[in-house]
Amino acid sequence: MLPPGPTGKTRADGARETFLRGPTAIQELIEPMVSGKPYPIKGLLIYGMNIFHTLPKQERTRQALRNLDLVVSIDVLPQDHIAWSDVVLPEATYLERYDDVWACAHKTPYIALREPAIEPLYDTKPGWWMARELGNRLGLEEFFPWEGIGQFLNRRLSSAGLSVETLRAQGGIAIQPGKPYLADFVADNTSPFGTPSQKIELYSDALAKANLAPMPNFESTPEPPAGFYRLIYGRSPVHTFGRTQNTPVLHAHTPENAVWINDEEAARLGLKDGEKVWLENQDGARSGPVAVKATPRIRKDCAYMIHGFGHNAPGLTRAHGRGASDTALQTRYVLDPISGGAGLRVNFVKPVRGN
Amino acid sequence: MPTRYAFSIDLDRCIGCQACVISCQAGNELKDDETYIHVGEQIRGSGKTLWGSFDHHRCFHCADAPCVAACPTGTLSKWNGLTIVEKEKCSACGYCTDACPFKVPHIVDNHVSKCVACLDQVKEGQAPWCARTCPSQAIHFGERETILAEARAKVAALKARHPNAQIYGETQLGGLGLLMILLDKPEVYGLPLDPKAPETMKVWQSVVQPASSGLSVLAAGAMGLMFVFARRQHGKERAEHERAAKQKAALQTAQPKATETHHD
Repeated sequence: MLPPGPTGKTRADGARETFLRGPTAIQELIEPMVSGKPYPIKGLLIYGMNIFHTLPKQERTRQALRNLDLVVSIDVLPQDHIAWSDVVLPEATYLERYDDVWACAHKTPYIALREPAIEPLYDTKPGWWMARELGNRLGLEEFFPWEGIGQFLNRRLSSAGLSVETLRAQGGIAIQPGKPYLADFVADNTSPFGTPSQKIELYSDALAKANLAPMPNFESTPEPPAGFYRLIYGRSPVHTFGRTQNTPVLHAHTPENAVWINDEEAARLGLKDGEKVWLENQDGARSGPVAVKATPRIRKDCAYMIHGFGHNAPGLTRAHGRGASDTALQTRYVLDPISGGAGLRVNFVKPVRGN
Repeated sequence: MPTRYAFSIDLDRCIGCQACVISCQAGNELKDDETYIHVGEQIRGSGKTLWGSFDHHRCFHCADAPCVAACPTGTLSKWNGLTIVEKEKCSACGYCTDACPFKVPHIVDNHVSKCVACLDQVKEGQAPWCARTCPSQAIHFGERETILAEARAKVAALKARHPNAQIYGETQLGGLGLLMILLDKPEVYGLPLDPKAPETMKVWQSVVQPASSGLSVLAAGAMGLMFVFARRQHGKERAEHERAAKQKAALQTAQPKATETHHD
């Protein structure tokens, strides 16, 4: 179990009580924002996340935003949710700001300095500056016992025997040999697995003790209704989540997504490759228009699209209105009982012609 | 003996991520809609017989490059095995677009647009942007002998999985400066088995170019004819290029990836 929170109170998102671990996204906070239970939520600060391309049930998200007294958004772009914000704090881009050091374990562990390449072009501030200024004004000075980012970074780096200056002198990155193989651990009699047995556990005593299935149980998901396809989604190697569709060179390369439909199914439906359709889900939610990609690369009972398109944000002058949004078509989800992670591939769509 | 450079592209390692396309655009400071590299996909069969491979359409840097032979202004020339470009010399005549058996060069904003082999980088001892960027090490660059030896070893290892695996470009047009490691026969990828300069090139090389030094009446007349012919061909090429670009926009290629909770 997670340790109790600082207040020891029930958390609205169900972490520690409903779920063994905390939910991995904030979708479980939306209903509490609407209902006020188990306690009222009055404000939301959104940082570097486009909630309309992250959270299923967009209508409930809109309802939650209407209920809140204060919505503050920090972003580098006028994303979809900016128009729903009471206060917008424009952030400097990553090329214009310091960020926390980037520390990466895995195969090749490294610590990297993240420094600005240029001064901010516009009236923007880095996220660390906003956090500190807001924190100090809210009486949270004890969490910001540093003057500037340099002092903060130097303290962080000192644990690795580094400083901003020494790290910069070696090219901004300190690389260490990794331990990618089990043999690397066997040699010094340690384990890379944080389990009681120090092995990969297929049967988990920890889960059994929490009255959860110690072995994963397969639970079948509903089959698509007649005429519908299971909506599955993934990534394009060209785009990162929902945040790069407006980037000029990436937009020029992949300006919109397409809906993949099995070529034989498309032929049966009389859909031509490249033809624009709307997608309508099992609850009547719509997104599009989007081009059909008729391909043998997908099963006959599924429709696939790249996530992150179908922006409804006029400020994103290139991406606005291009392609379809998988999130807009996710009006249902199921939860993993252990982690609280949302399973979104339980929605079904059909292509619809016309406007 | 001067160095002979070459690229190799290993279609077994290519994951279709388009990083080479974007780094080429960024490194060469191209306009957003100009690209020297196109990465597409080849698909055949369905279900259990489904077969797929990515393919790359870009300059092959032919040793006997028809574009260089056709170029009347010296914009295109050979340098250590690479077909290099001096854009400021280009008159946008479009002869190269007709001469290339792979339909690679095209005219953008009144100059030739094709791989420039990142000459500034290579002269500084760096590999071209595409080779430096490729996250799966599918693109290599170096001395052609070394690149060819690597490619041969790779093909030998591929034979067990892909019996038709082969190197494309070992001998064609004097040996290509870009060796493509194919998983199947060249025709599967739409690559010509015996790429040749078009027949009209022979007229150009045997009559027009030699005669043009003296600029006889005959040569002037022939040049005029060639110009009309090339412009017509170039018009066709431009239409073909625009059609291909539209098709590309319509067919978004992407690899479905298993991602679950991290979702923004």
